Amino acid sequence: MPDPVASIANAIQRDGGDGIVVVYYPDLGVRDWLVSEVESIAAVETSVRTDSVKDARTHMDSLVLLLPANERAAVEELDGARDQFLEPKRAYPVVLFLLRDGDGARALREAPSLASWVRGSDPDPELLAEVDVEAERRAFEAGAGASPEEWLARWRAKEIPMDASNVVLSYRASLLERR
Amino acid sequence: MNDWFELHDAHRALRATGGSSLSDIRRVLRRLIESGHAESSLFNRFTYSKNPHTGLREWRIAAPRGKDRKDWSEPLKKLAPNLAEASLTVLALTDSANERLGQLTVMLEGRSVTRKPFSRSVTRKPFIVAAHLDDRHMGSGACGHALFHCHVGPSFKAMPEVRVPLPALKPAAALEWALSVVLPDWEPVPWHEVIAHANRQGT
Repeated sequence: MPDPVASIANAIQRDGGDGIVVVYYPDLGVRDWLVSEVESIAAVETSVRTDSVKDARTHMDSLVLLLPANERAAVEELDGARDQFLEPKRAYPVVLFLLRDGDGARALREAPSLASWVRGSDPDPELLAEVDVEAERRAFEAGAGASPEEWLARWRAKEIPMDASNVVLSYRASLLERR
Repeated sequence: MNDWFELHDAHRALRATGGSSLSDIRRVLRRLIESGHAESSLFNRFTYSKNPHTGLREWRIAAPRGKDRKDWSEPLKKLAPNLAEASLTVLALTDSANERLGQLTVMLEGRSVTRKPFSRSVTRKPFIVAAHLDDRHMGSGACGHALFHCHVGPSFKAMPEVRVPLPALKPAAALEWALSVVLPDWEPVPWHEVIAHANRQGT
């Protein structure tokens, strides 16, 4: 099953951790959180946030979190500067954050060199995290014998015994609950 | 102000912003791995699922590869004396922005071992250590059923049902507390650091 955290970890650790990683985000509201999540998963001593490709290149010993104001321009600049990122070898990758289906993502599709470079190191963790709600609800009902709403109503009324497995089930039911 | 009002306010504040510090859980998991209490893959298995319709996120420790279990709990090693087994569950519900902490559970289930004197026979008894931030008011009030509380005992239902109110610890600190119950060397802030801190503060 695809996993958002594993996808970030794999992208950062791929090829010994050097190079460029692209992380897609769905909207600006989630971007800052996703940046800190990447920092947390990478667990490196030093990380640097910058909006400049030029600046990103200078921080060889740090995980660089690249948050350009103009994502298309950053992709084009990176595409032209590939060699400068390969040598000397970086300690940690540059992580470029791009808006899913945004201008930078489109620019990346038009930049075959950079696109092939980052292929396999370009997760969309928020997309990977999304559950198939209807399928999961059917699975829940098959296992618990009740819909998430029915089960939660009984749980909240203390009609279901509190034990470890039911505590776990209550979280799954809450995730799938219709609101 | 009445202590129970203060506690309730602190719990509400924890709920309002506690989600943003959830990734600190990884700092604790990392220390667990480094000190040999858990296997190394644990670090990247603290993960989440998201409901695309509501934006709600469910956080959990996922099962290792090849063990696709939704109710997975992580076995811990190098336990305190007289504990035969302990396994860890961490669960949380946060909103789309990962700011609001709707619910939190840090839970350790296991078995203790008691040896009878001058005998080879051993008795294994279950135990549970759990901290819960409930998603709504339960019970009759902030004293008997505080929003954020812990259970320690043979089971959740053993009588009397004790729910000890917890201060508004952030998720990582709640995890540190629970681990300190079952791991002999687990003390994130030993006394000498507390005293040094107090001296720096001039208190």
